[in-house]
Amino acid sequence: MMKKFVAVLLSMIMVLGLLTGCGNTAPASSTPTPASNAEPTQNNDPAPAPQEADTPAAPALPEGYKLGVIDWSALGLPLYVAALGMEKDLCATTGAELVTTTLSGYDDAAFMAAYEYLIDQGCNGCVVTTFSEGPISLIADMMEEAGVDWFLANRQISDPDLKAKVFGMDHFVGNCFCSEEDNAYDMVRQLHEKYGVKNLAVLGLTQGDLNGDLRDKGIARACEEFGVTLLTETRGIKTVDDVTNSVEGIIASYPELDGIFIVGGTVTNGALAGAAQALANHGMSDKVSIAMIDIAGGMSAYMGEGQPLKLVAGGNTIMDVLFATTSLINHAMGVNVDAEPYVIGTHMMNIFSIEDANDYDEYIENTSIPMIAGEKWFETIVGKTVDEIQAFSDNFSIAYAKSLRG
Amino acid sequence: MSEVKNRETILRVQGIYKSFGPTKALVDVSLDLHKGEVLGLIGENGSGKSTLSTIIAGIQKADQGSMFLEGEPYVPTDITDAISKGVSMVVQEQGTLNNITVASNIFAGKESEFTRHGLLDIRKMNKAAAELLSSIGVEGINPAQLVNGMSFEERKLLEVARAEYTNPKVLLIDETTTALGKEGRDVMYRLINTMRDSGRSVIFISHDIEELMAICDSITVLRDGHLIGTLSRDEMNIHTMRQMMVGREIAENFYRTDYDGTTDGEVALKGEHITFGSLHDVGIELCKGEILGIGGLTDCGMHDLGKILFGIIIPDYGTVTLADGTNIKDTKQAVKHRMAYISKNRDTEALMSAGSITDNLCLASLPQMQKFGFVAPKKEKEMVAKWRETLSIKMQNEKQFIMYLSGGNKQKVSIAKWLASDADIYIFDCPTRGIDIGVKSEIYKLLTNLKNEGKAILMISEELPELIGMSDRILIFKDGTVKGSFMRSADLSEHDLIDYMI
Amino acid sequence: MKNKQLPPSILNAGKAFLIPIALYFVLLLLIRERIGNWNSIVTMLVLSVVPTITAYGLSFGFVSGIMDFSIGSLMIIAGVCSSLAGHYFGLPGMLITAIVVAVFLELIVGGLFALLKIPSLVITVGTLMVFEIIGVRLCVIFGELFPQISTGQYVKTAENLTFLGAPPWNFVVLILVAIAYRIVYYRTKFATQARMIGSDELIAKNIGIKPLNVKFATFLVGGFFLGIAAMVSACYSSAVGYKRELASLTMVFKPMMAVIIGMSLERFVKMHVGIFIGSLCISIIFTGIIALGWPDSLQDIILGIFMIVVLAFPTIRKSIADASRRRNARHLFEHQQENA
Repeated sequence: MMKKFVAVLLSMIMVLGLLTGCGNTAPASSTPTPASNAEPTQNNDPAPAPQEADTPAAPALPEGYKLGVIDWSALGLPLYVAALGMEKDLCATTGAELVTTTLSGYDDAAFMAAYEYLIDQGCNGCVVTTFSEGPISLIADMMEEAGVDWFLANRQISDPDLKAKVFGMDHFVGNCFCSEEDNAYDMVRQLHEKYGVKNLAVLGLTQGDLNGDLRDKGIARACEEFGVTLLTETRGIKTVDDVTNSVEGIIASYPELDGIFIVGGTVTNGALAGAAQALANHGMSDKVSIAMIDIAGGMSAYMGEGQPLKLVAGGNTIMDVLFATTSLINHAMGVNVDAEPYVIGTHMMNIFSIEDANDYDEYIENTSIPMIAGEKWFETIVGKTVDEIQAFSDNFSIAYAKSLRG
Repeated sequence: MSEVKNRETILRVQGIYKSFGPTKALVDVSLDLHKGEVLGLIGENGSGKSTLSTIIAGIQKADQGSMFLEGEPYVPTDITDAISKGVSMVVQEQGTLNNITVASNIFAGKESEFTRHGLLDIRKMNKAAAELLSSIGVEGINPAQLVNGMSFEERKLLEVARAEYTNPKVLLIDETTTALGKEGRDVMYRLINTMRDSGRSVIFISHDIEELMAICDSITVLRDGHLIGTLSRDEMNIHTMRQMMVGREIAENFYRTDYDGTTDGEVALKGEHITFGSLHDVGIELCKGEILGIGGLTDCGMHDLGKILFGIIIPDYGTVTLADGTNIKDTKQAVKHRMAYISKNRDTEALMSAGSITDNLCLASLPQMQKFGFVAPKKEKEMVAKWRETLSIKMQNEKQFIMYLSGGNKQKVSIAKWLASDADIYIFDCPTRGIDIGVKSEIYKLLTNLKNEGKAILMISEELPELIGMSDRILIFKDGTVKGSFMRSADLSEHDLIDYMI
Repeated sequence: MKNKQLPPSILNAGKAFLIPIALYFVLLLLIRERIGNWNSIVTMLVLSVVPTITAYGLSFGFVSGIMDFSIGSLMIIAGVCSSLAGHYFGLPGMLITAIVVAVFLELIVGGLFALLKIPSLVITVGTLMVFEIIGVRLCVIFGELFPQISTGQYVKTAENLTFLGAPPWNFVVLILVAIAYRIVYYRTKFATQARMIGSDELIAKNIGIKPLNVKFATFLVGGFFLGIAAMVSACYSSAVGYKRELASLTMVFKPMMAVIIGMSLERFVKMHVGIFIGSLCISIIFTGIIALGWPDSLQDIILGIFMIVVLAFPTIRKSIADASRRRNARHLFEHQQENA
């Protein structure tokens, strides 16, 4: 009897542990793949002038409009805390009610359950993000059946049949994503052009990961085009130790190494620290340049004199959140309702220096002050057409975000 | 020796009851053990001897009853407590630990005595182990070596040393001598005598009546959990004891009574040029309707021979062939050609201890019982019922785990397994080892019946009376070769055989 | 001139070390230009340090029949706490915190095991999941309270303490820990009894050893070594990040393999050396895969094959000896037949 009781108790503890649902890996493939123009905007370009203050009055949201999102802030990354802050501000400004939920895991079932919950809570619009294409069809059916408008963020649909289905649905508003292949291509290009990298090692995502595969394509394309030798790849690393071990091993075997590309910095917490330490152990911090995708916040500590981190690309998640939420709000306000489901292309922000990193932290991933707040919403993207939103995306930069603060 | 009874009582056991479910293992058992007394404990399998000894040793608790040690209530909480109070036991089963040194095995649980500043003094431990082994007459064992490569006998002697180290007031020896060869038994007997001479007491459990009569001051007989009686030295009598054990008249001679050693003459199994380990160029022929006895000292190679003939061991050289010319190379082939092998090491090689009686008994017959890969439970049940009755196997039910059966009943199941498969060739290795007299006679009857049915039987045994009493022909091995061959005869004696063995 | 034979212990050690040496030479044959330098060898040794110390901690429970899958998540918590402590209390603070936290967590695991009497596999997988959550929360909380030290996803190690993770100091730590381990494993009553229980629990119990008490102690003693491993790992990588979704399980398998290899080599060398050899072999294979440019999925395959070969080696050796013996017997008989 005692053993049965104890077995049940232990099972409950295990289930509780699962349900508490804090994630270690941020979306391994948090960014979707390209469709829109792949011309990445340099972060140091001059910011376009913000919208004039004299904006037309925004159409009103229906009374009691509920916007459903997944709350990623429990991951602890400033990126997601900042994104949530913006979502809250947007809802406060426009009069929507923000409904959030967290994930119990990162498999398809967890995502399904999350969106089921949001629908049950009476959400009128949902921002949908998934780690794979797997659950999209079912989520789409759910949304359609419930009559909930939805916007797919951070995920490009590669399956043509699925794409045709989703884009043909009444309640599908649109899709925003970033070109993984082009981002990766651009990272290698910049490593080569700016820092003279000729012999590159890649710490990659697990093979079969959609984003990872696309980034691999970009890397391969860039290596071929710029004559960069891809020395070796290590994949699926789980702990900081794994990173340090891998880099140590690479250094030992490839003394000609001059560049490391961490593809998916959010996969392993502290990956950059591990890589930097390994280089420091061998006195190669000045010789080897590191580039990283996915993490953009808090990088100033790793940049600068004597530091190997030369280039970080990330922050597009903020933009995806931006466009997904405002698109739904716009749709609810009657803006762009006649438009077919549309696609907004986003891009990663490149960070090359401590100054860039500091500005990024201050103006984009600031967890206390939303990047866009209050009336600025109406000056920028709320109530705007699709083309205006795309233009905003194309021109978005760290400098521009800085200018938004005023 | 009757003055022993006049000595002070060291251990008093009063009114002990113990049950295992519906089975009453001990019913109102009382006995007194005196200082300097060697008390023999004898009884059939399942009589309660081991249960009583394990209760005394603190391994398990009685349901009811009391014990007194040197006049004080004796209620051991566990075996460690019993040892600390002066009661130690050498168990029947394997009691040493692999991957541990000789010294650590001997002083297992007593490491604190060799600890200094929290660390073990290995040298001191090894030295103490060497001295202890020497004191009980065991030489040539390195205390620093792991026990892994040691024989069962050597390991059993370590257990004896371990027990002796505790300087027990009462030492329980549970059917240990069956596992020992001559040297080992000598060590044991010396120890028993030393204990007696120093005023300490021994409870000695054995199936060997003659051994008990030679060693013990008195013998207590148990039957079906009841204490039947205690015989002093003057009262000891084999016939009486057998009768007390079994509860019925036992014929003096339970071996075969015929002396016709003829067989069908047709060779059923042939081994040629068998070479392996100590065996060298051994040739052997087993005929139908024959009981061929193989005898010798423990390490003469005869046990390996049995395994080679059954295909368990592949010899370095030589062949094993059946009458139809089939070369036996593995056990699967052997079983397919209706051979049977009953191992000497019943618990480790013949039976699945974690299995039920049904699982074990039906094991060799599954190919015949199965239909489209399924075996009907009804068929299994019928088979068990049949052999339960035929061999009088004592069990609660067919689902009972075999580990809970007594040794004799386990042996019956082991034999029944092969009888059920309707084998034609039987290789028995020490078929009555650790078996009480009642079951022994049943097994001998069984062997005789098999012979009369025309089965070919190879019987390997370390007991000369058994060989002489049952075999049509006897081969004596020494140093891996056949040294002597004897036909069945009323005049054949142990003396004739021993000359060829030693 | 006298023919002096080497002592058996040195000969046996030589035999055991032949395994990593042979592995290295295989790699030399395949890719000498990448692996045939002193830097490579040092790297292989460096990569063995943390798994070796972790394996020391794991081994006590392992030899007594306990599977502890929670060590990864436990080491993360210990690493996170000790990294933080290191910023404020220096090396002593880091070391003490790591050990205290690890032992405390193992106290919980061991206590649950002793109290509930459930298989260790079940208990440790359950505690692993809880510890992973604790690790996440700690990182997030530290990120809020100490933003200069923690990003919310990982905690950075104080820069002046990372020297312990690099040569020569990491080797010094390894040697000291190995000595301590050897003493504990072979010279303490507790470890001897742990091995006895692993050999045959029933016999050990009948001798008077209390298996549950000893097994509980293996958690605590193991925790001591795991704490040190966590600290060295934090210094080595300069950061400790949380893991979820059972990802910390991956931290168990290499040390476990090292323990298994160590146990199989015990007839040649003591466990502290055998475990190191196992760990070294794993790091040689790992480095070799990178040097060869092979996909790292192959690493797991090669590691698995390697372990099977090591464990099967006694059986293979016996088969070869049996075959040789049979061949000799056949030749002898045939020779005798000819002469007859």
